[in-house]
Amino acid sequence: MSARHTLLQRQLRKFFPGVVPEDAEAFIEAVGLAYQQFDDDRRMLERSLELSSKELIEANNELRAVFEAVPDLFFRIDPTGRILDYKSGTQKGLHAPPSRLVGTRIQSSPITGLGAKFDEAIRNAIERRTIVTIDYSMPRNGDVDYFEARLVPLPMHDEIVVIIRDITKRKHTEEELKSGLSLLKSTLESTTDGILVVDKQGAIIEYNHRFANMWRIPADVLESRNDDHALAHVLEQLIDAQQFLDKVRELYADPLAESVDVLEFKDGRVFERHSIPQIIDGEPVGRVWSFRDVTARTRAEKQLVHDAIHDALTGLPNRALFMDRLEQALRRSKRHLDHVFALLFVDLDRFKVVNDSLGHLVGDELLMRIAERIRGCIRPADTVARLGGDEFTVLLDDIVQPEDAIRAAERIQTVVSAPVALREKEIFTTVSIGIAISAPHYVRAEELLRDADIAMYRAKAMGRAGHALFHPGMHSTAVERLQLENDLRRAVDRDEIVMHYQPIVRLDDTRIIGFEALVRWNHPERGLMVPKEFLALAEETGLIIPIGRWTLRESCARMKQWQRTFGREDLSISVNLSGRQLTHPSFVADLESVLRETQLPPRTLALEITETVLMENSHAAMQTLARLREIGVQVHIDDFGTGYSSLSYLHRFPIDTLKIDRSFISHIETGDENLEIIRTIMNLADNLKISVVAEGVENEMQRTQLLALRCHAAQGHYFSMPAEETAVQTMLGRDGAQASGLPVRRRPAPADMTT
Amino acid sequence: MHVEQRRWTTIDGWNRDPGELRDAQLVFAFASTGVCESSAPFDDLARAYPNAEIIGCSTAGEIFETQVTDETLVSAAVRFDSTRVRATRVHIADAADSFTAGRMLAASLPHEDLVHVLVFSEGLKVNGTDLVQGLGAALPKNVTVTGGLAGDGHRFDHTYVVWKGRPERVGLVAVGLYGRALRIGYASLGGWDPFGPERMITRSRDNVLYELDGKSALALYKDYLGEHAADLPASGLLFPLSLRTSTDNAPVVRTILGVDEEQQSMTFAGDMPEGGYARLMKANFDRLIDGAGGAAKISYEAVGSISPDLALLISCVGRKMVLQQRIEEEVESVRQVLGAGTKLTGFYSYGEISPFTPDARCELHNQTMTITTLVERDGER
Repeated sequence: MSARHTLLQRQLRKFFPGVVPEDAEAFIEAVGLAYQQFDDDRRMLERSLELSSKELIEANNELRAVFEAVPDLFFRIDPTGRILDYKSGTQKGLHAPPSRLVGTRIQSSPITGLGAKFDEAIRNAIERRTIVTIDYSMPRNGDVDYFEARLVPLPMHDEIVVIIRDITKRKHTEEELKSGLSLLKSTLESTTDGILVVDKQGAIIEYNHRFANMWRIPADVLESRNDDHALAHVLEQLIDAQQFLDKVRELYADPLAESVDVLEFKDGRVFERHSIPQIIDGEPVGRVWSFRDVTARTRAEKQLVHDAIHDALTGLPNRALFMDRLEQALRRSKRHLDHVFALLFVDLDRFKVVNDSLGHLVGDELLMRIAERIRGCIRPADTVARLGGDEFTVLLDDIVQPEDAIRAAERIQTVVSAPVALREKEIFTTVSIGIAISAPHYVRAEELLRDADIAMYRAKAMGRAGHALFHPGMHSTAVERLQLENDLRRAVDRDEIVMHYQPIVRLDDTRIIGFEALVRWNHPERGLMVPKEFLALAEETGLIIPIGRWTLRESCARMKQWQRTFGREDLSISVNLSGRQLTHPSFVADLESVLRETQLPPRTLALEITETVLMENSHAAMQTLARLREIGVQVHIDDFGTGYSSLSYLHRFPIDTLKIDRSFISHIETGDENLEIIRTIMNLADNLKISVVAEGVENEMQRTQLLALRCHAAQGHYFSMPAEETAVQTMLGRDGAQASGLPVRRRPAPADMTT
Repeated sequence: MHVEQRRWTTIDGWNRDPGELRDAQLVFAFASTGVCESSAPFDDLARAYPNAEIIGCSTAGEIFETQVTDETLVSAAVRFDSTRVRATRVHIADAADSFTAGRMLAASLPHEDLVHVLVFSEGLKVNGTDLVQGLGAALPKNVTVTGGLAGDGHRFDHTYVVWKGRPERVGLVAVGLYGRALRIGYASLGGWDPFGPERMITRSRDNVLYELDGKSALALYKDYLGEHAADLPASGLLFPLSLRTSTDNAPVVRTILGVDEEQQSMTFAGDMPEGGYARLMKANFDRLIDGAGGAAKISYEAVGSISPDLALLISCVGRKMVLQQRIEEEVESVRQVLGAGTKLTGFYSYGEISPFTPDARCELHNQTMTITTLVERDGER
């Protein structure tokens, strides 16, 4: 210790003015040291105090700055609620500016109920020593402000810090959200779609009642928010649960994707399912699924589709569906060369007859019955369809050999031929069946259909109630036929139809009493064709009507001309009539028109109808013949003896002449049989007061025989071949002067003609 | 039990010869680090008490009756009537950490009939908090522990622990006291007041403190110490820290042990956990003295309000720094409470080990006067 403490020095000077005693040296030093220490300590303390205070002031300032930055109102209250002080970033929050409220109790707010609210909050905060939060509102300029007050009891003191925050904006937002939410909820509940909202993990967030009902998920399962449980409920109702899960997985892997698909239920319901992501600020936060029950609509659609491909009357597949199946079978046979199939074209024989005679209702019923029968005798894998009218087709898919198809056709014929009981009647029908077998050369399904059709026609042509297997030869026949048909159509316009006339003469003096008009076709390639070669075609195609009309007109006109030219008003013209013409509704009208036009006396016109045609169309013929009788036209039965006439019909029909078929005449000299038949016919005619003409007289002996049998008129090659117009004119010119090279006889009176 | 006290100085040697306690079982030896480096007094002790466990440590001051001295050795030999003694030691290198060391110490003492453990530990490298926890983990619940960390005056350089009569640098020693006749009292009181703001420990590692409130702790200390900053770490004792963690409600006092200018860190005698709150403390003279007296009172009452035979005083070097010339006043106040018949021995340490109060958990304290009173009474417990 170099320098003594100043205080010590002073004290020493004061109490020991002289010299310090030697042995007190140590003592004095110790004292000095103590003084020094005390000074040090004091300085240290002063320093500490200063530093501490500075630190505290700084901390305080920082704190105040923070308070001022925060837009809340802070103040301290004592346990009675008296406001001690405040720090404020705002003036709002209490019923007056905070500066005016210091020293007053916070419960003394004039706002109704606020004081009590604060009172209770203060008590709670103090008792429970936890933070208490309350909400309240204060009116301002007609509006309302909302505040939140937080009471924080201070741990050390018995004071509470109150923080008041203006939450008006938040409140408004909350209100908006609430009303928006309420609107959403009612929208959600009013829709008929089932809505389900899930989060990104697939957990259920929200759903509407319709959803719960549609999926029949019990309320407790949904409320438990146990999604696996709910999902299990869903999956077990579906036919394809895997498809459902796959789709869900797919969409969760792609949160922004949208999708629409269809769900099928085991109980037959069908739902349409839509899914869109739920996006907030561009980020997917979940997914919304909506479900619509489209069962009824689907059913209706299915029905439409069904109706589009099925026949309304029989319920069988229609042409469209059948052709589709046929195409598939064809494609299959192209892929697998050992896959063989057959097409049966089934046509009801004479359906038209039933329809016309018994009416359309019966006809429809018949079709339905036949459809059932056919369906009943084919395999489930095969298809029977109704193409239309009375045409059915059968697809025998995957047969082993063609015989299978033939057997099938036979089976069909058997079942169809059994009588059908309809409306207290028993109806018998048969079918003609054309069979086409698949083969590598077929390219399109239509070809098979065409070939089966052709085969069917062949079956019909062969006599109906049968079946025919198509072979390529039929093709050419069909093609030929088609060609011929086309030619025939144009034949009339091209003046290819010509009339030849064969004279009908008196057997005694071979005087010409009339002509039979015979139609010929001058085919440009084939040459002159006789009716046998084209008349059946004409009948089938209906061309017989226009041709027949032309023939009739031409014949009448020609005869009228000859009558005038040669002064032979007694000459008659015979025109052949087909069944078709006979039953044609406008036939009589047409005839009358021709007679008017040509001015031919009706009694000089004879219409020749074959015995067979008359019998087949007896009902319709009866009426027409009666009309003809009224008009005055004659009716001749042609080819008599070859048909199955009922004698009663013969008696009832207004007939003028029987023409004995040539087959009886040509063998007249060979046996007695024919002679007897002729004799019988002669007797019959005699009894019925009908005249007779013999056809096909070829020689003198026949002529003599017939004369002996008292047959008076005939035609045949013996007298003349059918001749063209010009030849006829020549004949007529010479007639009465042995033009035909036959003995001349006197001109018979018209009265003689009738015996 | 009988206690015999002696003191040795370099110049004058022993103040008296050994008496009739040749058969003492336990001898406490506390000496300055300087004296620890000479072998003479330890040889003498070994000769004087050939059957005793001679244990102790280096100090920041030696207590002999009501006197506090430096650069001396004080010994207190104890002959117990029935209490048994076991001593144990752990090499600091053998323990991966202080916790393990404490556990090993405790585990190496037999536990049957064990009443109390006295611990003397190396003072600068050991984490006192962990050591105490390790001790507590391995000892039965009813066994109490008191003790202290060895000191090195104001130098904070290196300390010694006395084992089998020899000072060594790297050990921790413990003495177990066994027997139903022994009565132990203990207490630890401070006398420091926190002042100023609470600061959060924002960066620290175990017992090394770097930052308070994001700013350098060392810089803060230098501010407060002013010209005394030059005497760090010793001068740091003038401002211990009051440490409060969220789990403890009662704060503890932490003394500085060292300073690292490069790291800008300060090492304390115990843990300074991040997130804890620290406040500077200043000494209150009167309370320091009263604290010593208060501790004495508590430990006195703990043994039945009778004068104990021996009182072991382990006081903090920080108190010595503050009280300076008046240091002996605290020891005197202890004497006043315990009575003239009690032998007082002890030392100034770098950390004190004791429960706060008889029922509390054992802790590491700083800046305290820790008193352990011992009384042997037949049949009583």
